[in-house]
Amino acid sequence: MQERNYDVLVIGAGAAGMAAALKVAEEGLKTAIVDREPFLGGILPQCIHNGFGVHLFKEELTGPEFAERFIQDVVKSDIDIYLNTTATSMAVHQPVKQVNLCSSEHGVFRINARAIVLAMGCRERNRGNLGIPGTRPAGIFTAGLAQRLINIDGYMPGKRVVIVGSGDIGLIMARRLTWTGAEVLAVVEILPYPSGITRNIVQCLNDFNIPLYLSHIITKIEGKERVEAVEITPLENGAPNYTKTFKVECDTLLFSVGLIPENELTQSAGIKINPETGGPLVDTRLMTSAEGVFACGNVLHVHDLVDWVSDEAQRCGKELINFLQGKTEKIEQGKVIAGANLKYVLPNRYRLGEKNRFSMRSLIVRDKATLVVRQGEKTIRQFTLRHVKPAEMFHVELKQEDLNDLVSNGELLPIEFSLS
Amino acid sequence: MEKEVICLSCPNGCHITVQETSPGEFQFQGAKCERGEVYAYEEITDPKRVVTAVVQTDSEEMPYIPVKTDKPIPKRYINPLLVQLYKQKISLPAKCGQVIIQNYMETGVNVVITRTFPLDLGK
Repeated sequence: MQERNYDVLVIGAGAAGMAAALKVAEEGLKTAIVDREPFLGGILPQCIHNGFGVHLFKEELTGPEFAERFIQDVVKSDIDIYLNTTATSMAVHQPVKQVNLCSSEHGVFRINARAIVLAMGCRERNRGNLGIPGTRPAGIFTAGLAQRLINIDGYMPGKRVVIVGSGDIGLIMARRLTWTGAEVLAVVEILPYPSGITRNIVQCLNDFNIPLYLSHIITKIEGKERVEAVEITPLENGAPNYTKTFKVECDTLLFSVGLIPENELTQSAGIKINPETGGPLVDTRLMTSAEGVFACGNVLHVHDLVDWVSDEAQRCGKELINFLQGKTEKIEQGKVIAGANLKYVLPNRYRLGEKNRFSMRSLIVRDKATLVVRQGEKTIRQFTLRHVKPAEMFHVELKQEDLNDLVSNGELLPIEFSLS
Repeated sequence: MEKEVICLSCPNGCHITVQETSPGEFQFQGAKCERGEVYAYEEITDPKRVVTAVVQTDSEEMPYIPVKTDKPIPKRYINPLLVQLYKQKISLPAKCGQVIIQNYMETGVNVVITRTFPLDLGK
C-alpha cells in the first residue's frame, strides 16, 4: 500500500477543516486535507442563502461566498488537497498516527501523521430517528438533502410540501421551495417554541404566510407510491390529543429535526465520545482522548453559526501547533461540569494560567438568565445573559484570575456551570 | 390599520405594533430602542429582502450556479426577478462577484454570481 507522510492530516474540508488546516500550514507544518466530496467547502456550497460571516468578516455572505474566502487561501497555501477521498479507518494510539484512505485517484492508500484534526461535520437526523407511523412512500427527504437537490443538482423534490421541525435548515427550505414554485403548507414543531432563529421565522415563514404549528406532531404518513397526506396532531400536556387530529394533503415531507456529529470513524478508532454532544470528549486543548488527535466544528458539537465553527477551528489549529512544539504536552487540567439547565459545556476541561473560553447550550428559554460558575463550594464568577434558548449556543470566557489553584485528592477542583 | 412587526435589528426581537394614525403617519409601540421604529417604518412602507437563487448554466458538471442580489430589493420586485432569473442561462466559467443583471428595474440592485466555477485548485 502506498504511504505518505505529513505533520498534520485534517479530515474534512468544510468550514472547520479548512480553517484548522490554514492555521497549522501557516506555521510551516506539512499539512494534508482530505474530503469525500469532489469540492472544498463541505456543506457551505449548497447553503446559497445569505447571513454567513457577520461575526468573522463583518458582512453578510452566502454560503458559497463564505467558503470561497477560505478555499482561495487553501489553494494559495502549501496544503496538499485530496478530494473524492474517504478515510475508512485509523490507528491513533501511537506517536505516528496511521489513517487508511481510499480515492478514485490514489486507490487504497495510507497517510501517516504526527497529529490529526477531526473535522467531519455532522449529518441530519431522519424519519428513522423519530419513529413516525405510516407507510414508506417516496417523497420523504431530510431538509439538507432537499437543499442539495434544489441548489446543486437543480431538481425539485415536490410541489406540495409539509416540513417537520422548525430548525433553521427547515425554515430556509420553506422560503427556498416557495421561491422555486412549490407550496409549503405547514411547518410542524413538537416544542412549544420555534427551534430556528427569529429572523428565519419572519423572513422564511411569515413573509409567505406559512403556518407554524407549535406543540404539534406528525402522527401518520399516508400514501403508497408517493406521499399523499400527513396527519397532524396537537400535543396537550405532553400527550397527543387525537380528537383534534387534522389531515394535510401533500406530496412531500421534509425533516428538519436536528443534526448529529458524524463520529463513526472516531468511535471505531477507540476515541471517547461525550453522550451529551455526540462528539468526542475534549480537553482544554480541544484534544480528544487520543493524544495528538484534535476535533473542531460540527463533529465536536453542532453549531448554529459557521462563524463560531471557523473560530473554534483556528483555536484548534493553534493548540495543535503548541502541542507539536511540546509546549502543552503536560499541562494540569481540571474537570468542567455542566450543571443545572445546561445541556453541555465545552471543552470538558479547564486549565490555569490563562483565559479559558467555553461554549455551551441552554436547556431553557429565559430572559435575563444568570450563569454561575463554581469551583468546589466557591462561586468564582457570575454572568448575566440577556436571553438564552436551546436554539442558540453561547460563549463565556473565564479570566486567568477567576480560576484558583485549588486541589483536592491531588486533582484540580472541578468547575461547575449552572444556569437559572 | 394596525400591524405587528418583529424587529430583526438585534437578538431582542421586539414585537412592535404599528398604527397608521393618518395616511403616512405611524405610531409605534413595543420597541425597546429607536432602531426598532426605523426598522418597523421600513417594514410597513417598503419592505426589502436579499434574494438568492440558482440559475441554469451551460455546463453538465455544474448545471446550476448560485446568485444573489447585492443589496436588499423591495419585496414587490422579488417574483418578477425570480421569473427572469429562471429563464436565464449562464455560460461558464463564472466568477464569484460577476454581475449578471445590472441595476434591475432601476432599483440600483445588481444580481451577482456567488460561486466561482471551475475553481482552479492549482495542484
